[in-house]
Order: sequence, then structure tokens, then C-alpha cells
Amino acid sequence: MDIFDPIILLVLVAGLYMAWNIGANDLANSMGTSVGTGALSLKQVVIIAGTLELVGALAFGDRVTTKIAKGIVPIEDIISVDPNIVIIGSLAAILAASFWITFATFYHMPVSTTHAIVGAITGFGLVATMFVDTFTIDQIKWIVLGKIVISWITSPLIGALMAFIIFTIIRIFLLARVDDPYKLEKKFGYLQILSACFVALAHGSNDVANAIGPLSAALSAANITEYGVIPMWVLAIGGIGIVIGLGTWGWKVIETVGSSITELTPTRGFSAEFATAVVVFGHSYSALPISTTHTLVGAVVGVGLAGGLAAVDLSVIKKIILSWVITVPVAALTSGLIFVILMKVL
Amino acid sequence: MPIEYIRSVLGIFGESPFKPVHTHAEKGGEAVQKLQQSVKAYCKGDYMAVHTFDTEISAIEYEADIIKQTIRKLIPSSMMLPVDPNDLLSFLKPQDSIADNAHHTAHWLTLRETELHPEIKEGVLELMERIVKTVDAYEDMVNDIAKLLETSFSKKEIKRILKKSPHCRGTGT
Repeated sequence: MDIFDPIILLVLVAGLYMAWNIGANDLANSMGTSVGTGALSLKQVVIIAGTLELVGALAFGDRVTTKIAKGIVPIEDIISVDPNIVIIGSLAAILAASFWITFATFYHMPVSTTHAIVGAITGFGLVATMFVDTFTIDQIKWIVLGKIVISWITSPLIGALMAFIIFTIIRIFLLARVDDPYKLEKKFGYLQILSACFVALAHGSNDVANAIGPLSAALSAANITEYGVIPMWVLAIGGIGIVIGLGTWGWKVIETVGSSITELTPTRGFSAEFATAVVVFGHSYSALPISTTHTLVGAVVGVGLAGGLAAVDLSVIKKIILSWVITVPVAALTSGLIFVILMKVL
Repeated sequence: MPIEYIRSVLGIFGESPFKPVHTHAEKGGEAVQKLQQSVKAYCKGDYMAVHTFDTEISAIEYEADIIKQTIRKLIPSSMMLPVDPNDLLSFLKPQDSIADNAHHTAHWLTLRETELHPEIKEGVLELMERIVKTVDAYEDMVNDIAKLLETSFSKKEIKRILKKSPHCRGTGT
């Protein structure tokens, strides 16, 4: 089988669409804070985000991608029986995640692409047990899945704690001592360029997997790429897709987000961004797929708890938890359903 | 408007209730300024103007009330502020009474047309002058809220602002 096989091409197109979504909304959300504080112009942010997202994806994206591709559902156990099932399953998973993300975005639900893709992959794995006799439910790596789900709860909390500590240090040692806090804010405007770069790099390293995880599973099942290795060109497909999403639609989202958070100052923006980037990057290193935006929300709450923000609307957290809880089963069910239909049709 | 294809979680940034607190304080100042003009008109015997000022101050007081309601709406229980929301509301109460009292006084002036004794007239004008100065000083303090928020209520900044109030300086009034 080669890359021009229609099913492989479909997985590729759906993966690109997912990447576009990630660039258009998730990356844009994370970068919006830099524009909101006035530290960077829209153009500067788009250039920084585009470049470093790509660097992050290429240089550090392989760990989480490997985890999504074969860490939850051990595809090698299925490939040995029938590699086609993995290829069709990858298509089902990426389609299910894409459908849900598209739907949720139209209804402004704060869902995470990470949650969608992990749910979808798990859904495929569960249904695959009905098609492969030698593959049973207990072969799905529940412990890995459990660790991932726990990291979805802990990552915003760690983000909050880190941002709390960073801002408290700034508050005690700088804001309380300087005569003109506005001059200090100006200096932090420069530091925010660094933290914005770091956020884009971290985001690329973690979120590229949501777009190309299923693609790399399909590619290794089709024997196009070596098993267990994520080639540079696959990472590049995801990274470039994300950058296209940012360039065609994400900049508008950055503008909208940036103009609605004008009360954020550079010291606060820096604290939230830096904490987010450290947490997300750390999770990429540990090969754990997490939501960058949810971590950012946690970090913002952390800055708020440290007394740094005029108003933090905690009602958003309820919405996030709700869509979080809905996303995983919906993506899993849709993925399983699409898989069954595709198996019947193809 | 077309459906926006946006998935944002940055609604976490609430709208600051401190900005309207500032606007609300300005309304009080505006009402007191008008009241001074009204008192001057009363002393001159220009009762037509006194009635006009009463209507104008009533309108300002109404605007202040609307702002007060907006502030209350901006702090639902889900909103996390750097101060206790109850403190903010109890801060708002005396601030609201500035426009309220100006409104009442402006209305009293319309009730009876009397030529004041020159000595009382002088005293009233002097009192009015001092009230305007006091409210000006108050507005100056409210202006500092922005800097308080910026330094995230640093002790140094709080001390600097408290020094502006003679009462807090301990000299008494």
C-alpha cells in the first residue's frame, strides 16, 4: 500500500483538517493573551506563533504523537492480524474527532481537540475487539488512558499553582517595590515576547499529535513508515496544517480574544503564559497529551488567586468540565459507529 | 451576523467592576458641581435655573443608579475579585449617597423661594465650596484605584492613598 491509497489519503485530509482546526482556534486562544496585553501586535504574534509552533511540532512532537498512535490502543496487536482494521480505525477516529470539534466550535463549546482524539481512539479500540478475535478489551492500555485522564485534571491545577507562584514573586519583589508600576509593565512586555514564543513551542510539541496521531498509526499499518518511528515529514504535515489554520482563520480569533481581554497587563500575561508553557512542555516530554487552553485557564485562575486580576469569571470552569465530560464519550461513540459503518462498506 | 467559528475559553477574563465604580464616582462629582451652580442661582434669586438644575441633577442621579446596578450585575458569585465583593458593595453605598444627597438638596431648593439673609447666604456658599472640594478630593482618591489594582494592592500603595484622607492621617475632621 502507498500513500496514494484512497483511505490513507482520506486519513491525511482529515488530519490536515484537524490541524487546521487546532491552528484556527486552540493556538489562537493561547496566543491571544499576548495581543490582549498589547505586548505584541497581531502580525508579530502570527509570525511568532507560526514559526515556533512548527519548530515545536518538528523537534518535540514525536513523543505525544507516538502515544496517541499506539500508546492507548496497541495497534501492533491488530496489525499482526489485519493491518486494514488499523487503517480504517484511524480514519474513523480522526473523522469522529473532526466532526465533534466542528460541531462544538459552531456552538462555542470550550472543548479540547486532545480530549476528542483520545476519546475517538479509545472508541475505535473498544469496537475493534468485536472485529479481531485475538484482541480483547483488557489489551487496551487502561493504565495509560488513566494517566492521561488524570493529567487532564492535574495539568490545569499545576498551571494554576505555577502561575500563582510566578505572579506572587513578581508582586512581592517587583510590583510592591517599584515607584512606577507602569514602567515595570513595559519591561514585562519584552519578557512576554519570550513567554509567547515558549507557549507556541510547547503547544506545537503537544497538540500536533491530535492531528497526525491517527495518520501515523495508519501509515505504519500500511507499512509506509517504519513501525514506531514518526518521520519528520509526518510531523511537518501536522505543523504546516496548524500554521495554515492560524493564517487563514486563527488571526481573526486572536483579534477577537485579544480585544476582549484588554484588562490583562504584561506581568499577568507573562505569569499565565510562562506557567502554561512549562506545564504543557513538561507533559510533551512525559508523552502525555493535554489541553493547552485548559492549562491556560488554570494559569489565569492562578494569577487571579494571587490577586492579579480585576475579575476572573469562574463560571467558565463549569462549562469546561461539562464539555470535557461530554467530549470523551461522544467522540468514542461516534468513532466506534463510523468504524463499524466503514467496515461494512469497505 | 454569520455564526462565528470560534471556540474560546478566554471568557475566564471577567469584566472589571472597578471601571464602572470610577464612572459612578464621577457621576457623584458631576451632581455636586451642578448643585453648587444651583445654590448660586438660588442665592441670586434665579428660581427658574434652580428648577432646571433640579431636573438635570435628577437625571445624573438616575444615571448613577443605573451604573450601580451594572456593578452589582458584574459581580455574580462566580466572579473572583482581588477584594471581598461585599467590601466593594459597601464601598459603593456611601459613594452612591453623594449623588443621592445632591439630588435631595437640589429638590429642596425648588420647594420655597426665599431671599436669604446675606450672612446665611455667605455661609451656604462657603459650605458648598467646601463640599465641592471634598468631593474633588474623593474623586482623586478613586482615580487611584487603577494603580491599586495594577500593584495588586501593595501595602506601599495603600499607605500612599490613605495619606490623602485626613481622617486616616489621624488628625480628625
